[in-house]
Amino acid sequence: MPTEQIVLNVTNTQPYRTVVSLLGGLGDYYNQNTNASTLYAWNLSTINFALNGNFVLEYRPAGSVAPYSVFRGVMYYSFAGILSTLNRYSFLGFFWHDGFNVYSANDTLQFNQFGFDF
Amino acid sequence: MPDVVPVVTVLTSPAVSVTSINNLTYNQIQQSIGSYSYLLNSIYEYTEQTSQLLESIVLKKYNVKGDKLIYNLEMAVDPYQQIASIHQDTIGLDYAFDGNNNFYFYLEPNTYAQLQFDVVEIAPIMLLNKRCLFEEVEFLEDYLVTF
Repeated sequence: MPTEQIVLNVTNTQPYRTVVSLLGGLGDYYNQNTNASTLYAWNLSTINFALNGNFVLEYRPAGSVAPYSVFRGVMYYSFAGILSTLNRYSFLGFFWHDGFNVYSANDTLQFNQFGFDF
Repeated sequence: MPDVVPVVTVLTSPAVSVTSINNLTYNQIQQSIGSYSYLLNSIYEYTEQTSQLLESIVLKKYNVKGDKLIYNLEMAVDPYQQIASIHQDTIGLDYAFDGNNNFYFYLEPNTYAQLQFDVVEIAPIMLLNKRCLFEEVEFLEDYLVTF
């Protein structure tokens, strides 16, 4: 009997607005955030985005003790530029913000610090 | 070169929880996409508050040329409606969950939404037990041209 209806309950348990990506299949890299219980939060309020430069984000597979890999991107003079670069080009899941806090939930990757190269 | 260290919190429940109330789990549905395609006919969204309905639903799809198309479904609601739910027809969009597409939407803080997708399931294996494929040809031609 073919499926005629898909019914999903989606719950945001956090006190900020978020984004969820659904039914994209296994190739959907935003799917890493779905049902993930490890939440990462970076407070970027001290960063001067007018000083355009590169940023780096360290990551590695969760549970690994290997050195962190580094994703390097361009800030494009803005907070939104960082988020856009991360979400479009990093393939590290979805990053969202609340004020100047950047969040990501991920159980398959382990993140470390943001670095800024001015 | 300033560095910003993350605050890591291991939550007792997922930050964004997605569960299926069909007999298939959400993971099973996710893994079936690609082998199966689900042509989307409509979306019904039920939430706890009307403001959540105003959050746009974004349907991203890639056509046969590889061009990316984005539809923002603006969920217009009646300000006097008593129930926070809305039904959106998507037949004209020719949108399918087939593994090449990406569907996302925004969720307000501490809230819940139930999404019901009316779909038509398509899979190669469903054609094998047909006595004759001619009844499917017209539908498949449309499908191939569109996607």
